[in-house]
Amino acid sequence: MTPTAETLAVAPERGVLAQIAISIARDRVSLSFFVVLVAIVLVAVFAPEIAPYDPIAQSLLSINLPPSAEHWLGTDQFGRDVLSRIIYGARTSLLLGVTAPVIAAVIGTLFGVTAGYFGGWTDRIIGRFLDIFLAFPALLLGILIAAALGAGFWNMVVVLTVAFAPRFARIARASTMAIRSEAFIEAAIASGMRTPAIMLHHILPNIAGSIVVVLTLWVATAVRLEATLSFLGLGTQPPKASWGNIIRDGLGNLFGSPWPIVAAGLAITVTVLAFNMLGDAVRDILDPEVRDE
Amino acid sequence: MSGSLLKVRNLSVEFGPAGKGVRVLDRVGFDMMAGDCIGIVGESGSGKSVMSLSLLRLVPEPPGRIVEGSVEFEGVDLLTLPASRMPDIRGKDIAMIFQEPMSALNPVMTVGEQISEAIFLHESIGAAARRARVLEMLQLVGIPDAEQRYDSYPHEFSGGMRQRVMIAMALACNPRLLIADEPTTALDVTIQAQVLELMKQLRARYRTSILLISHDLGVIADIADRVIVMYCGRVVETAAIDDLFDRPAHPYTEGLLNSIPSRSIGQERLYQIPGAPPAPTERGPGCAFYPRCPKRMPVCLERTPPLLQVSETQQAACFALPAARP
Repeated sequence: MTPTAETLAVAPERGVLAQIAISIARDRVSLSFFVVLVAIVLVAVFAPEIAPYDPIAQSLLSINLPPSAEHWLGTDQFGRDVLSRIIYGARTSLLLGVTAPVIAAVIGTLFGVTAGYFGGWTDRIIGRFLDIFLAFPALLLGILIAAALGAGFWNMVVVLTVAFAPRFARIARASTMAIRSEAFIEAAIASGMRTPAIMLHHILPNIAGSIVVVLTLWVATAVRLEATLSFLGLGTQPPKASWGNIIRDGLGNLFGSPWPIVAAGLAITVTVLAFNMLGDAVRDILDPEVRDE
Repeated sequence: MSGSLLKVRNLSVEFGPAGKGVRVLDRVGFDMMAGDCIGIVGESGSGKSVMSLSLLRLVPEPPGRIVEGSVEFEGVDLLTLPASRMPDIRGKDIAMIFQEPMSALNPVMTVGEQISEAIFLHESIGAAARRARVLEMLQLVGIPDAEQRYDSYPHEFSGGMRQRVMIAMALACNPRLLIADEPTTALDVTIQAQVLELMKQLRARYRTSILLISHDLGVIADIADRVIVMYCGRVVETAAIDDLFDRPAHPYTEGLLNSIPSRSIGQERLYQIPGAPPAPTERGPGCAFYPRCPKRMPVCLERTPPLLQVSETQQAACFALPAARP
């Protein structure tokens, strides 16, 4: 992404979120990915209005149909309309993909800011716990917890939250430590501000930018992990549609109809790509070294 | 107008692990009356900043530690108060201005919000009244177009203007004591003069007592009535401003005064006190100024000279003083 003259002119110290919004609006590539994302979200929200068929209605008369005017993406082995399942699947995938990282961001930021602000023993204790969680790859941790808790949507939220929260905590901790040593924090203490207020009013707004960047990247990962877990049978349970589920159902029927897998795979790819590109763009905006190149 | 405002006794601060910590502030004591403006002068590392921070218990802990002493503010010892009471005093009774106006304001909050927050912390007045007060403060410290500037971010302000905002924040709750830690060091000379002028005006108007920390005797002479000279964590001399300049009692003060460059051209080299202050770890039982002192005597190595009364308004800690002779 080459920054245009306008993006360079963005005031470097303006509120970070405002800065991100302005820069995205000015950069064509980021803007197009942003539009794609908005479209996906709208599809998910208005699924009942958009979907041409009931996503779980089976019809033995129309199994494994190729794409046609009635069924744009064909049907699966139970005669369910693939397009409708993809549309409803967006709901599950996005709801999970956004809910889990947001909860993880809140919890992780809480611990990270606490560790970074107080330092010393608080930091050491929280830090060791983070290390334990970070030692597991997110997917492995997810599978472990999902196997222990059982499948289901809310269990998957728990799984992803536990897997992601330490990653947010680490970012929040590092950013907080940088801000903590700024003179305005000392000034705030000297003006009689109590610690929770300082965290809320001074630390949080200053680290929000980095958290948002990480959030967009982990949303993409969450969508991917949801698909993975559902594919492994640890996620969303049939007949409910989710993109991972559609692939799982479609795999056994690959030679009957490849369309469910192709469509769900594409949906995941586009969504993950859009979130990643958006995250990259946001990071580039916030990183002065990249921005000034 | 009169009456004791601040009574500091034996204030000692150590840094590092307990037991083998390094003493950076050693039994500092002074008195301040309401309405006083006291300047604290000393070179880098003399402990003046640590002293000002420890008055509000702001010394970072760990590694710092206030090991003994008392800081009586209006009769209450701040050092024995429960820590949870300190935020009520900070900013309300005793406010502080810091050295770096560039980084002492939060970059993501507007200037108006930050002053407003300082008021919100200590006074329960409505949002509209608060905004009016902020605008009044901004005008008071000489920020033009206060209405528009309320919504400006710190990066849109120059260094001098930011320091004015800091002063506005510090004075917003009408504190009885203002601690200004090198308030003009980061500013260029003309802005420095303006900020000092502003502090003088505000002092005359609100009768705020000021504790001004600086390494610049010129700044101190401009605004303070009394001076405390610190060296290596100790008070070596305290005097009324005129006495200090006319007849410095401690050899270190004398050296400082001699080091002020004069405006005449073509002189020989500028005077400087020979040597450098010893590191806090290398200080012996004697006077810390001994290695650099032109008046040193054997006794100076054995023990630390106590503060002796030189005249009614002047004290100094030196064995070479007439007052030290038995």
